[in-house]
Amino acid sequence: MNRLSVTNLCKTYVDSDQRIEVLRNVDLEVMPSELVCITGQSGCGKSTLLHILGLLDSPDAGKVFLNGMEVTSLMPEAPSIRNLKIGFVFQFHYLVDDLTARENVALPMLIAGSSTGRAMQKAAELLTWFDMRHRANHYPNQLSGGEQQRIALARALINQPEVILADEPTGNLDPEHSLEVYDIIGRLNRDFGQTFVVVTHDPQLAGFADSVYALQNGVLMLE
Amino acid sequence: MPLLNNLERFYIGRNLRDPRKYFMGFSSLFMIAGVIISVAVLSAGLNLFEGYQRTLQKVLLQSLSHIRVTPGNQEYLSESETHSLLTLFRKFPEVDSAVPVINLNVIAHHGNESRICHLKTYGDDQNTSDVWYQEFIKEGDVLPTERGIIIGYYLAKEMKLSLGDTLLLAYPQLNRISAMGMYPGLKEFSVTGIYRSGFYEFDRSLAMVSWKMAQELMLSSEQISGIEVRLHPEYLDQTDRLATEWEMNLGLWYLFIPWTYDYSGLFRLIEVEKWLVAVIFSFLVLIAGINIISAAQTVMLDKRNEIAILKTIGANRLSLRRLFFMRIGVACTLSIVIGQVIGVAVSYIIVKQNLYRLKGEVYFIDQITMHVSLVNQIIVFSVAVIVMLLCILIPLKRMDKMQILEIFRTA
Repeated sequence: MNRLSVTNLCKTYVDSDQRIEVLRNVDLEVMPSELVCITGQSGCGKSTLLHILGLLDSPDAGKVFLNGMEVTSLMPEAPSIRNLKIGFVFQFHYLVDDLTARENVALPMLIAGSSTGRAMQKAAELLTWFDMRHRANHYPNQLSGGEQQRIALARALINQPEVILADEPTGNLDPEHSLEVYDIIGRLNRDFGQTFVVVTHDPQLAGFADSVYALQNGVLMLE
Repeated sequence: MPLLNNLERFYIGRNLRDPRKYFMGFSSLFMIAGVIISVAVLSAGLNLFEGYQRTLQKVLLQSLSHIRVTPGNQEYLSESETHSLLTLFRKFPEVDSAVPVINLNVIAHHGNESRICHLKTYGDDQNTSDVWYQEFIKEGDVLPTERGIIIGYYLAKEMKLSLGDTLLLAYPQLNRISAMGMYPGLKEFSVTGIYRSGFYEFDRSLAMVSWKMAQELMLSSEQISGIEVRLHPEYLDQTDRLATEWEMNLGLWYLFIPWTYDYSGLFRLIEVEKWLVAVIFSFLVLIAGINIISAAQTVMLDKRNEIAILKTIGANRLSLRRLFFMRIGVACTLSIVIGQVIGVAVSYIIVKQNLYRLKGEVYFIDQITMHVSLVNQIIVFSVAVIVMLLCILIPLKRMDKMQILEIFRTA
């Protein structure tokens, strides 16, 4: 069974009387433990697709299935699905400035209802895996871009989601830190079977992927 | 369902552990200051009014008889009536003391100063230790000696009298008219005591002489104005009931006048004034509440990234609302408590300062006092909390409209 799939996904934006068809009948299937990359030019709709997959946005038409269950009609439950089944990593990492690295990682678990002690312990374990234990009590502004992205990855992982959706995870990093992120994504996918859908226009990252799709003029094509 | 979920508990604990980070932002600081100041003013106002009300009541209850017994159909009580009434009253368990009293309006003269004053004389069977006004005697003797007179503090001040000075009292009576005109009873007294209860009306008009001297001044030994009854403290709130009960039992030959009869209007007025002041000061709390609306709005704008992140990773609308409600609510509640403490401190400073004193002729008493009433503090806390919490709810509605993607695009 597909981990994640979409069928006939359409999305149109209206900008001052001009209709922009961002997604045209997009179909996509992501298998468990698969690392899928979606590439395309800036503004082609990659992020829109990812947002729809992550229930942050709704399509005009089409359906999204998570583990075979249709989730586009479950928008009221979207927060809970996002919390437990989907992990997010963004280009600008979006960590909470007033919380330490460990507290940021623990947040999804706290939202899911775990006690502070359990969430903090799990966060500490993840930080150790990410080789970030020594930075656990640092605030985001005390961390480098690469470190911040690792914290964001750890946060995405803490509830052991079905899939992690990453939007340009290396878009804001220098080559050295980008390599660290590639390495982590690769290890998580290879060693733990974590499913990823990564939106990027970084060919090096696309090189790690099991499948690479290109989005062009609203149409998604397997490369 | 627990009051706080784990996320809320975590955030509140986090905020309290590091309050500077959360509460000392520019907008939060003004919000907190507004709440503290308004609650402090409200609390201090009520503390001072409560103190005023209680002091006035205490002074009145200590200076006045609790029930005055006067003849119903004649001007004075006879000695035999007085004796039988005193015997009766002293048997009642509620009665602390019952003494005959002579009340006269006399003219006091010293040097170039003359004043009309109220001469009060208690039955001469009192011991010094029985005298209830003992604590109000600031200088000199507690009981008037044979040629001595105790006078009020302000009367002494206005007439430039001090202990040992001589005061002439004149008691004019319409039934003493000769061919030469009216001839009053005249007596000269030496000031042996200064009385200061704090109740201005008494302190500027009261004079007390011995029973024998009062009779000599009246040129009569038959004129007893009435009996002053004082109750044990635990029966003070039953004064009206007791007066009515006694009047029913003893018939209409005597009038039983409770102290509340003379002063109930005044106390009702003070009570109304107190709550009027509370309502007016509550508007300050309301203004602080409006300040909270804008501050909470700013906090939410400052934290919009955090809101978007929390929404993205699964926090639902209700949870986010509760989270921000708790975070701002905790800051407001702490500010209210601090405001109440500062209010008590401010009232204390006002009581202790010497720059401004109450004008007795306007406010009846000349001292500023305070009383921290638990009920008043609970009312202040409740009013402030309700206003604040309602004000927090208004900006929280806007949070629902914050779209994750919109925030991320503009971040």
